[in-house]
Amino acid sequence: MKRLQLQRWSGSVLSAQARTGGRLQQRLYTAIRHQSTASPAAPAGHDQLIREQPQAPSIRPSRPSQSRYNLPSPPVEAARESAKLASLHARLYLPSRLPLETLARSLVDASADPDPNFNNESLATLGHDLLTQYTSEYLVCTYPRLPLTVVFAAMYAYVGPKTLAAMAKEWGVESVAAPGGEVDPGYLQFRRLPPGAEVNPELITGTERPHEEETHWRKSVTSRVVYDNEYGDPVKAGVPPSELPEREAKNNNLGVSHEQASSTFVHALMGAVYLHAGRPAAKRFFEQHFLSRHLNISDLFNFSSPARDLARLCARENFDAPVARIISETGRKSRSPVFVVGIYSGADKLGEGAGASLLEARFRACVASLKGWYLYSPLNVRVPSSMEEEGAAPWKPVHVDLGEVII
Amino acid sequence: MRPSLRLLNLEVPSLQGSRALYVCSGCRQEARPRPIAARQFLRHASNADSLSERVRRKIWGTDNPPGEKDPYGGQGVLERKFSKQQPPKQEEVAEQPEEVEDLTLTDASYEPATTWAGLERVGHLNRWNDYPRSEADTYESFAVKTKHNQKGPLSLAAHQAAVEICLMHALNKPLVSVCDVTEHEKPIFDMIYECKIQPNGEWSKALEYPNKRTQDTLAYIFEQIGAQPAAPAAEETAEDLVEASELEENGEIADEPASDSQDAPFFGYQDVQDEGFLSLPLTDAVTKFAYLKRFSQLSGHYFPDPIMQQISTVKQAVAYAQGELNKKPKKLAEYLAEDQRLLSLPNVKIFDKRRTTLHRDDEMGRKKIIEAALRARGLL
Amino acid sequence: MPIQGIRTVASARNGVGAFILQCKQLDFHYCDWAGSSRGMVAYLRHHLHAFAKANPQIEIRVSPRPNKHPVIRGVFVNGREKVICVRNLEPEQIGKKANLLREASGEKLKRTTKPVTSINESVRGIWSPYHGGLNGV
Repeated sequence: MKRLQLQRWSGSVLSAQARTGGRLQQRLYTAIRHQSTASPAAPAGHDQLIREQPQAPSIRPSRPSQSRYNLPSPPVEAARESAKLASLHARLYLPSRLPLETLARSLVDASADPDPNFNNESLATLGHDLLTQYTSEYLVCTYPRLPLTVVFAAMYAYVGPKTLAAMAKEWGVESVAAPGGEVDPGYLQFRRLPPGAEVNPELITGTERPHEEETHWRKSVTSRVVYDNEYGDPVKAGVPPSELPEREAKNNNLGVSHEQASSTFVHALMGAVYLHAGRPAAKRFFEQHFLSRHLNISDLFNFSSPARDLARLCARENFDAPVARIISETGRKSRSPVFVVGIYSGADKLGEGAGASLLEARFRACVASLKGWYLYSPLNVRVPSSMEEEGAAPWKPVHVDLGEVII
Repeated sequence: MRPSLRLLNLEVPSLQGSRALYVCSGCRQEARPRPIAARQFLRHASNADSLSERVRRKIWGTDNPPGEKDPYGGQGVLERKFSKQQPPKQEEVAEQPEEVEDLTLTDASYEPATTWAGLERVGHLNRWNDYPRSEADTYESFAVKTKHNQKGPLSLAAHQAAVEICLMHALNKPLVSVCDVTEHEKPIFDMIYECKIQPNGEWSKALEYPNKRTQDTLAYIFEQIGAQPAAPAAEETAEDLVEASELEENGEIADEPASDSQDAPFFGYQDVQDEGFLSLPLTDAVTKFAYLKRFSQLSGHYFPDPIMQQISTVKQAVAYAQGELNKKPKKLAEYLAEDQRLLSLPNVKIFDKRRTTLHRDDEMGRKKIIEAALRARGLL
Repeated sequence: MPIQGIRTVASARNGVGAFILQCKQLDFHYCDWAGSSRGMVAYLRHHLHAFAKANPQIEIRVSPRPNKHPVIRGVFVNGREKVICVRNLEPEQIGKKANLLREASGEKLKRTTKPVTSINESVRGIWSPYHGGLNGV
């Protein structure tokens, strides 16, 4: 994603004058992501679309505090009175350039206040893109040989909705019982799902994938890059701007789950930090709160036939065919035997594993040698976005791998 | 109303008809009207004949069964008692109308009283509280009825007391006797009001009159106050004199105060002319006592002993009356609300009232849901 | 499908990146009239501002609670509460109690017997009843 576009969006978020519409941006965002390379023509299209939108009334007319019950979300001036909000600001070490008002806005979900000038949808779109970009470039540069399915899983583990919801909980963000103008702006405000509602619909329809109705067709991993979202899940197609009001009207009555609202808040906060404090602060925020979490990537693999994968891998890389040999064994006739099996390619030992049976030991040894290959991590990794800073060292190309073994 | 009772009330009418809603067997038993068969065996005091009598009649089949009236022990204790008392009563009732007729015949001027007022009190034990209220019983407050708290009236009272004590000093009369006259007439008060006090520290020489005439009049009046028997008449004549002269000389000064000066304390004056009296010392015990007595009479404030020990000038006495010496302690919430160090911190919130669950509900947006649910059920 | 990814959630390591203070709210309750609140009132008058300034990440609420002993109530990130009654305590002692709540994690107190706790799995592995002894079955 290009930096210029973000800056242009930031203007609309900050001033709250031009109504861009969150869903429109999502639409634009998905449109861009589907192109393999960012086309230079895209920004011009943005501007056109933005200008076509009707200008919303700039600021809500101020009303006396009596009628706060009539507002969908707390008024802007309430942010300065809330001690909860101020303490949250300090607890997250947010930069002082990020005002409390924006923090309060990032806590208002679109289901609480459908007005795009007062909810966090636009901020969340920006923050979502930033988080996805930073995480994916970190993963791809640090583990260049990681299979795509594992990359999806790692993305889900770092910035997935479950993680973000847990993060919001660990930050001490509480949520309201029902949104309204009288609530403390330090709470996460969203309309809850009615009891008994389906939280995770099994089948998502309306994606951009062709032949999506053919459920028994094989979906290749490569197609998931194109059609699905960053976690490899099917995603709804974007809506053209002409149909936006209908879609919004339909969605107004529905609530969102706590997990979804929390992840939207974290996205929005990331976007707000980027807008107000700049890119270095946003990267610092990302490193401190997201990358610092513990994730053991080697636990994310699920092999079904590691021996076959390893054979194909050795054939592709022109190694000798792998051979499993017993290195040592003990208690073959006892109740608990232990076999240690090594996988050898010619004279090189690729990996070894211990198990209670010969098959198990071989399986483990194959897994170990495959993980040894896939989890290769070069030293002194730099990510492409580090080149955005002033005075960065000249870029040296990172390791780009052939990719996973295709059976 | 307790919910169980309310439920019962709702349910009981429908018990005979449809039993749509459930009422537990115990409640149903309670709520069901008593069967008539059971009611027949109840003994009421109003029943003409007892149960055993009715049974006997039924057995014999006649209204006058032979034998003893009640074979099972006769009448009860209460019945026997009532039967003894009742016959003479009935005779009295029969006799009374004749006596009343006799009375009306003898006294034609009799009027029945509608209220107790004016009736002769009979049957008391000659105690004090049985007698009607006499003049000695009426309570008159030593001090003025209304307690003054504002600065203006308090200064006026203090000034008046100071002038009077000064006058008594100058006249060499007993100081405490100024308290005999609680409130002076308006012309005299006007003259007192115009007197000034020099803060030179001596009571007898501090007073400064606006003119010679005032000095003479005041001296004349306060001469009268000490002499008890002749005082009222003399004072009246003096007042008449003064009043006449006042009206002739400076009518505008008399008109100056507010129109409702008769009701207003200190005849509508708002504040004193000079503050010289504040520096007068209260070191002499007699003067101090007299001054504080007069001041407390005029202002309505009571001076406790420890405070009286502390006071050494008129200023302190006035300050005490204004509540400056021992102020009411300030609430902590008010103190903290003015603390700039706390106000500048955004993470501190100070409340002056106890926080309840309702506040928390309002903060979390739950209150409006609760209220809506209560309204929907008609409970709010 | 040669390899599949397993979805998990990255676990938090508080303090490795940013440190989130676990105490998020402190309520100070006092009574204007009662003598057991004398120390609390003095603390609120003279020491609270310093404490609040040093801990901007804690939301501090001061409210009266008439005819009750003074109390400090701490609300923690994990949703638990801790309440300390500070009746008849001096302001310095109350400051210590407030600091105690500030530094608490909100968990129930428990004895720690092991010197080190780790989120990494043990090198030895965990004994399993399904592995080993297969021959005998």
